[in-house]
Amino acid sequence: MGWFERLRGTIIGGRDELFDEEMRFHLDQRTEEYMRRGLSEADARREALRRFGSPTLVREQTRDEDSFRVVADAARDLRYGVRLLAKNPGFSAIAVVTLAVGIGANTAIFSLFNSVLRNRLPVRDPERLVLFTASTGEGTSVGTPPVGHWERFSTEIYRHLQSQTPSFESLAAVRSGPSTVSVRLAGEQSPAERAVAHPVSGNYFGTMGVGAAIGRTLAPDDDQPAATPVAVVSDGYWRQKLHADPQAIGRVAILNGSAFTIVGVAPPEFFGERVRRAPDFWVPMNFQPIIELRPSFVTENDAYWLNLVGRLRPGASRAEAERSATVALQRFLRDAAGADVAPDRAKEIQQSRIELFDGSGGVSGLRTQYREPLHILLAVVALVLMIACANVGNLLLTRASARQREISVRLALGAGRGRLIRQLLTESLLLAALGGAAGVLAARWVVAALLALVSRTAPVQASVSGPVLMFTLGVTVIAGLLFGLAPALYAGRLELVGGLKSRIGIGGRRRRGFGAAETLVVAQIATSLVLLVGASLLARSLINLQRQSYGFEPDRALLARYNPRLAGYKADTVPSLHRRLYERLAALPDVRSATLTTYTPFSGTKSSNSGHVRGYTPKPDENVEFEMVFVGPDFPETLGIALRAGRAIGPRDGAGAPRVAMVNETFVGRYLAHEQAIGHRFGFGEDKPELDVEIVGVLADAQFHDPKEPIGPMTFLPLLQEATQFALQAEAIVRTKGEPAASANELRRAINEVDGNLPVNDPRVLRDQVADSFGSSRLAARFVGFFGGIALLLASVGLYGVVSQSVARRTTEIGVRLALGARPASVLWMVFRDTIALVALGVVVGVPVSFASAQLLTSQLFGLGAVDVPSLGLSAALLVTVAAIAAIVPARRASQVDPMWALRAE
Amino acid sequence: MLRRTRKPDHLQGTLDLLVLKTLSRGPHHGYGIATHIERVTGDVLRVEEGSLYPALHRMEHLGWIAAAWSLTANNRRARLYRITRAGEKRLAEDEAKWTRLTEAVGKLLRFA
Repeated sequence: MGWFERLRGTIIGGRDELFDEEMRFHLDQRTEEYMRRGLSEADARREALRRFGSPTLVREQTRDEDSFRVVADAARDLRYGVRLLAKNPGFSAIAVVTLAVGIGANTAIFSLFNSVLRNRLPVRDPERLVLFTASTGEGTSVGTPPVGHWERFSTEIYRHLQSQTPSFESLAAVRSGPSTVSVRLAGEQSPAERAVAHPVSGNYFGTMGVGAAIGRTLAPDDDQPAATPVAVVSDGYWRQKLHADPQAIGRVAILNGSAFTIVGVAPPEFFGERVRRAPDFWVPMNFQPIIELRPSFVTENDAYWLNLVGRLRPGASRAEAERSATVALQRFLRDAAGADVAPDRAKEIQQSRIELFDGSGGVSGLRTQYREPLHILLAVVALVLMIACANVGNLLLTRASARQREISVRLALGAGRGRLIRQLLTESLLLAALGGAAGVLAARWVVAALLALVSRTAPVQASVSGPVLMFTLGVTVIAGLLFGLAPALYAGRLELVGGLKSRIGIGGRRRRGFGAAETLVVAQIATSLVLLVGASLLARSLINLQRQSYGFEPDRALLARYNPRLAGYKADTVPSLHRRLYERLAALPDVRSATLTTYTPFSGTKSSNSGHVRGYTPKPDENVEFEMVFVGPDFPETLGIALRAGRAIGPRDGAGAPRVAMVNETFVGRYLAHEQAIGHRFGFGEDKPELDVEIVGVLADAQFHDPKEPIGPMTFLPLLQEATQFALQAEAIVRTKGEPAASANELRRAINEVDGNLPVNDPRVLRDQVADSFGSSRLAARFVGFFGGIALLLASVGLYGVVSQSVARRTTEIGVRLALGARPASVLWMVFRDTIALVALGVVVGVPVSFASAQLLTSQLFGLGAVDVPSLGLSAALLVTVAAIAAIVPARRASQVDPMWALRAE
Repeated sequence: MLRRTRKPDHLQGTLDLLVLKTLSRGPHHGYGIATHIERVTGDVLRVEEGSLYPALHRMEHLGWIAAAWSLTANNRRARLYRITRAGEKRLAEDEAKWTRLTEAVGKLLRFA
């Protein structure tokens, strides 16, 4: 008999027939022998059986020899467990659902965690990819070369690094941020649509290690000045716009009026090196002028417009590549500067360096933004699971005490305690497995819902994948052991004799003391308090963020972004468009005032430039740099920013007028501390007095960016005067008289009345834009609140169960009390008091734990500290209220006990 | 739940020896082993039939003996056991041990 048959026999059984045949043969032989010696057949058989002994016993002993004991025991326990669960469907359902909630929450959050923070790009050997910036590195700078850590490069320097850094197998360049283009498919009548195109170097796909799903990817030859324009489309674009047609290869797409031949479709799982922003088209970077509708950066040697992605040679280390790239960069800069380089510049070159970052996960703004919230959520769901485990543990404990007699009988019959505990744990693990399976099923759609909340357009694929399943398996086993522990220990401690006595008498074991069940409930309450406090802290912080005054009035401001570049405007024609738009919008009936700006607060855009302020001497190592916003007339009034001194930029600050500016108070405080700001002059870039601008107004500080960061110096320049590339993308703001959302269509229509070809984004209220920028804070607050609610629900179910049990146990006692004249109200109070005592103990235990764990949230909090009394008070009040509701039902049941019935049942 | 001690005692060791020795002369079924032992020892040693079969199955799992179903003369299916190479080795060891033991006991008896 091989071990396999033995194992099969162990688990499935069914080997007894064979042994029975062997045994029968033996008995028959023996019977025949006795008959040969002269006994009658009946006597012979009886004598044979007597000699053989009990066939059952022999069969069992033989079977024991034939099976693996541990496996046999486990299989038997499992069968027994299944039978037991099937016998109590109500109990099983509650336990499985509770566990499914706990395990499902963990699976969902972990799969999110896994896909946002741990996933690798779907490319060949992702660990060999390196990035030159840790952030998305977007933006463009023209003019002075970067200093310090280089994130953006010119074409010339990219080519130099490509040839001079042998640590890289290949080095690709990508435009620092994709662009919106207008697309028309040749041969289709439909109007032009907007799409996202990303210029990349010809070796981009080769460097990333990605092949085409259909057709081919871009090749270095496609990126030559004389090459025919070609493009690779994303899988999403191919499915949505090209109807997943394999014949789409070779079709022509008109991007911004130029024909590009589609040569391939990228694989469905590939979204580029930027995890969040999937372009629709990848085009060779030589075609950047067409894509961005601006003069070429390709040949512009002082345009720093490219991010780099490198693939290390096998065996090359990141540090080594970093060193050689930095050396190559510095050598290039020194050669460019020539022999008679100024000492300052020489020092700058010396400090220029390249840093390389792990590229295996791609570039992800999502990752930096959600790293902390996701870690917090992981901790939160772990707590939820603990509460769920406590609940199931309590259920099992209740059942174990109901099974006291069964367990005592088995002990009396000689079952080992270890064996008994093993059996109870098997049952727990069985429950956990069922709960885990249900949890994985539930997690599938929870994940989808959560992802939708994280980012509506996120091309992040969070699926219940291999690592997630491993995680869930681990969680399930741990959960099973956790909640199985209490009843198992209980069984291990059980006394034999007491358990066999059937009923618990009046004066007998009332067990009103503090048992395992009570401990679990107190732990649950304390854990719930921790979660509720966390949730209230995050919610209050979010409210603070949203209610905070940022120095502007977000409520009645309606914004609409428009794009003159896509409508064919050039730097010299755009000022007149802005003027016409301003005049049209200011005349709208529902509008109090209107203005234009290159960007609005909390839009995620920031444009800074280095400059100089007359009369201000920078400290050594100080980089004089300020933000630069171009605005139309009535800007302070429309945004609700207070004008502290001077005048606002008005309609007269147009073409030909003197160059003027408004600055914020931080600017004045930092650079003009003791002087009259109005009339002072400053400038950008090169130090040429004729290019300086004069300060005509001072605005109150207004926060345009992350509220957790201090406000920097800002300058506001006249948009109507700006005949440069800067003015080719702008936003209209109107302050409405009534509900701003109601004016959305009017605003859009008005803009298109001025120019019907001008692409306009859907107008949105500034208040919503501010709120949206708190996405990750809202996510954290919402999720922690959600899981806090679940925790509260689970804890109150647990409390309800424990109180119900204790009432059921005390039915006789309560009956006697009532018979002796106790009023129902006092019985109600008695039960209620015990419950509240438990809750109060839980709260007392929970308070210090809450304070300690809230410290972990500090970086997520705004406008309040980790020790926040209102949050604590609110949470405790909520907890006590819900607990009271959970206790009231069994307490009322106790007060309505019929004394006669209770006594007769004895 | 019955718990059986698994300590190898003298009796069990003796049974193993008897079975292996019997099988070293050729394959036998369980009944045959029992009757052979009784016949050869003149009914002095009577095999406890209840422990014979568990012992046979245990020795089978230990690899000392192998079993196969076969037909007897009167066309009945019987489980035939035969000794394996490992079983023969074991038998040699046990036999030597047993001989030493009985000689020792004999010496003591003669001395007294």
